[in-house]
Amino acid sequence: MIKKIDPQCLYNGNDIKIRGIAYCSNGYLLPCCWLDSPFFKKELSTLGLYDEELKLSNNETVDNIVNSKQWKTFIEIITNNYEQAPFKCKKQCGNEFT
Amino acid sequence: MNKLHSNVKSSAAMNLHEQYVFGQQNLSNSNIELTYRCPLQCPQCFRDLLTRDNNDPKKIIFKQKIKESFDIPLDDLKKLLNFFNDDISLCGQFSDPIYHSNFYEILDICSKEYSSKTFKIHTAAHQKNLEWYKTAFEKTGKNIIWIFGLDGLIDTSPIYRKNQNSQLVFDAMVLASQMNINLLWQFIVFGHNEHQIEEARSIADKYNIKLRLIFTNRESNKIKKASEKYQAKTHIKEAKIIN
Repeated sequence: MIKKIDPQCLYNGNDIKIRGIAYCSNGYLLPCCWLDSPFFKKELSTLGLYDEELKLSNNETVDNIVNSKQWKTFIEIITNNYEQAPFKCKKQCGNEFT
Repeated sequence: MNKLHSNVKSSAAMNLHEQYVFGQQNLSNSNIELTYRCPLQCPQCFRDLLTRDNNDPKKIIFKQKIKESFDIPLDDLKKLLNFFNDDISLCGQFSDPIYHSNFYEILDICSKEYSSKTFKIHTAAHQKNLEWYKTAFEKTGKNIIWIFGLDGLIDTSPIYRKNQNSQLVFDAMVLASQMNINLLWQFIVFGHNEHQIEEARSIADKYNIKLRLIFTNRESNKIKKASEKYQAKTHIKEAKIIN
């Protein structure tokens, strides 16, 4: 069984709309609003997405956040490392191949 | 050539992260939660957890989330609006955008400073009165679409939209239409309102309002899903066989 995520938040060369970043009421950005649940906070914290330095108020621009090492690692994980990806990404964007 | 096409690059020319950032800036539907307030308690919203016993662990976790939340500062909002090139949704995960304490100012910012970008305001909660909406619509530019969550007619909408003053929301939609505001009536079809679809269509026609029906398979012990013909056509991910 091959498991893979086809992230709906990733541009793949087509003009098709993709799922956008979510700004959450606690001042953080998350890769998509499906992740904005208090019940996923612990899991996303281990990936660094709730690091204090990533709070929008601690940054001059959104570019600083999406180009941070934490976000780069996150995008790499959901694209190429299924096992480490958050549960919600697997549930919403995951595929299984046999 | 439209803005989108002029920006599109070959994905092969970018590394994975550049591809991600490019897509987010140019092709995404981003979502901004302006506030943490909402007077409604829709059964499929996190807010429904507030109806549980005080010792319920999920309620405790959600209350902590509310405690950590705040209205987005306008400076932070502008950072977001500078990043995303288009199609920005002001939509709450558990709040209603019109409850931001500076909502009128936000309308001014979106309409005047970011008039080249399109915004969607997703709202289901009612505000104070029709006068409040009139002022809001006067501040609403052509680049903004109001999406009203009225699930059924005014007698049935509060079954899901608990605490909603549905008459006021309906009157606000009619007023918006009369004031030539871009708007959409979003109607989630459930078991308790599916018999009103045709009547809603005819009311929408009468007031020159676009009606969008949303079909869902979701149900809870508090809400009955629509009968089969009105349910969403589910996309079932089946295992693909590779020889």
